[in-house]
Amino acid sequence: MESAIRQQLIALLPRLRRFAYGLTGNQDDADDLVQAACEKALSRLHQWQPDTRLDSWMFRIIQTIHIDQLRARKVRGESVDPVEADKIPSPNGAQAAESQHTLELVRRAMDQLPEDQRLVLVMICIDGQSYQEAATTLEVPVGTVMSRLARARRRVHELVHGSKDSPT
Amino acid sequence: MTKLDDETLLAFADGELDSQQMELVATQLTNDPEARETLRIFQESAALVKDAFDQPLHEPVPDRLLQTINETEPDASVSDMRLARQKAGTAKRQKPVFSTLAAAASVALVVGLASGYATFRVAATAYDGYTSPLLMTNDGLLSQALETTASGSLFDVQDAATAGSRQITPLLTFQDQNRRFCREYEETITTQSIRRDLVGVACRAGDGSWIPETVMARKLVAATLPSENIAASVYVPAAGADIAPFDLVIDAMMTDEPISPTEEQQLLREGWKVDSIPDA
Repeated sequence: MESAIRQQLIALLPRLRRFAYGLTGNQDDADDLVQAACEKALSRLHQWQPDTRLDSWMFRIIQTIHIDQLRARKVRGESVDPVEADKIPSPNGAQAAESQHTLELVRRAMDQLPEDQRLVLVMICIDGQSYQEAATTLEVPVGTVMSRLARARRRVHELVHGSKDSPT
Repeated sequence: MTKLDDETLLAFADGELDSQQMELVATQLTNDPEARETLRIFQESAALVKDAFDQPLHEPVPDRLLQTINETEPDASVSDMRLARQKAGTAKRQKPVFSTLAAAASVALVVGLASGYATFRVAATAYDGYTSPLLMTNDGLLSQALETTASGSLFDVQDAATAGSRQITPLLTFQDQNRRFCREYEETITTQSIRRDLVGVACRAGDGSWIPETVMARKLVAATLPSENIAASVYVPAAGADIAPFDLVIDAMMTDEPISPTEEQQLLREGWKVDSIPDA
């Protein structure tokens, strides 16, 4: 059973990395998070029931570790890594660069969202979970998930278009 | 006509409405430019967010993650802990409590389980007390397992009574104050609906049946781990540490050191005769 689970975990890695990237906004931090989650899952395999979904279990572990890290950071008074302005390529007219620029603005907008809004965006828009799945994992009513999600999406829109339209 | 609210438009954008509602909203949208703009915002933002973070799907997974998955070992099971202790434990056991801590710590080292240290401290609070859901006096399968199976070996049998299975691993054999043979064992009982992990001690009666003295459900090996317990799982002790309080029971029952594997072999062969052990 154990080697089968390792295979399944490997197959899940791209999704887990994307999920963690959405949460952290930084690919190195995302990989650290995924690594910590895999270590935790494999050392606690006895807690996982074979008839439940491995992906849901992994997402919950990733979220738990992420939330613990945010709390620890808060206690230590560290700020969340800001996205540096010079990382954002300026538009040069080419369509590819333009869309790269937009996506960088999206990532920066995500970084400015409150954690609860960011989380529902990651779960639903990035990982494709249903409202119900997100509500169950977060232990909040579906209505709460929806209102956070609506606010988050409006905010992303404002931040992306606001920056785009303003002169640089 | 009622105005389309944000929540409805959001659910429409995400395909969360049933087909009847979808059609209804689609019809209403044709006459509502403001709602169409809101919908566009919801659709576009979702697409942008998805695209902004999809890089990990288009690149190879870093080696370090593959390495972690291939090399992380599960925490030692109870059996591993016990057997390591039995092997190491030819020296006379020390006083309870102290020996419990020392044994757990040293065994943790033996099996390379550094996390045993960090988590051991909280074991006492996580421990849910002795429960005795299965103190049956006439448990044929348990008797059969303990009568015939060497410590560390698995007795795995289908249980017709529950249409499930029972997996029993004897862990440690010793004699109590009444010179009865007693064995500590680990058991997983699986039925169609539940899985239950427990640790118990049973002692042998004159007629060859083994009667459980005490059984502890292993709370931390829950059948399912509901999401609300995930946060709590940060504090779950390393496997094995949660049975440490159980050692006190064994310490109290046991007169001397555990019976060695060689002596145990002889007992199994000769049907648990007291004089099988020369210097008992």
